[in-house]
Amino acid sequence: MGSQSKYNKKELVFVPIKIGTTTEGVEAGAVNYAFWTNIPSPARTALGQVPITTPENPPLGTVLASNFPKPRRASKRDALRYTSSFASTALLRQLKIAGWRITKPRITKPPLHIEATRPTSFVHTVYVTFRSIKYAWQLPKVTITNLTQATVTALGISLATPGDFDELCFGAQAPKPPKASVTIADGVDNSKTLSTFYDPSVTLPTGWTESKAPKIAFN
Amino acid sequence: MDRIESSENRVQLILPGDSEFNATLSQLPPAWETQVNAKGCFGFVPDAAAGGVLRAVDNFEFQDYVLGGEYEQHQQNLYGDMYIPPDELEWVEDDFKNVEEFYIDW
Repeated sequence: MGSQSKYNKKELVFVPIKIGTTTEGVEAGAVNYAFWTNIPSPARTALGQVPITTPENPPLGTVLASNFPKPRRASKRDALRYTSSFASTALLRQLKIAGWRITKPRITKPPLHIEATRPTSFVHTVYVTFRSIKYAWQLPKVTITNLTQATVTALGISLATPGDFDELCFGAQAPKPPKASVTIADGVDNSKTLSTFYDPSVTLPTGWTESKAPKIAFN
Repeated sequence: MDRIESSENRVQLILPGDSEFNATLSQLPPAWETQVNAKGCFGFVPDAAAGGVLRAVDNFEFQDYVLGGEYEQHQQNLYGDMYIPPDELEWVEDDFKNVEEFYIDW
């Protein structure tokens, strides 16, 4: 009879990982990647997984199940058991020595849409700094035109630059910054409502109201 | 888990790249209990041909999914031109032979 932890409810853990591979091929930027696991506890220790004991107030600089970055996968076949989970960057070498197979995520560079590299793109990569991560998403350029660049800046939204290359986190389930919306009236029967993430440390420009609260808790 | 929100004056289109997109795709399909019971189920995998909608698979179908290339196809669909093929095999047949306990985190 092996471990019975497969029947347990999955528990929240994180591993410290690198965010991206820079243009020079160096791994840089650091973040804690949080996910749910039910692997047996000796394997959790080996892979450097740290339990998150306060999911309602998770540690700063931690992203929950982001699309990017993703950690390295460590897999191991034992007698009757196969284990495959995520590993702390600092432990990769010793894990390989201990017989774990380490594989890279399929995406090692952020999906960066910026003028310098993708001038014809319909979107621009933007971010707000929230809970010590750069929460990034692709903002349609037409939204920037509608809002004006000055308003985008006033909402605390920064256009990504090549310098942000190894710091951006995309598609995290949490933390998510709050959203704000505005209704722009443009003559009769021609008003439009726009909404976007914003940096809650700024004072909202006139006409804007918070339309969706931030998501901080991991649950 | 986030849910799709809509109201009388606001309908959201959740397009690929939107932060809600993956959360939406990872909803279990309708009547999933029936699918699970019918298969003696191993779990759910994102269907590469159906745009990432989850479908139920049994143990054998799961092996076929990860070893037969569909898993890789799904990753490629997800990341588009950012996709980099793995430099070594992520899954090998020996991972599945005579295994009684699987633990896989995604």
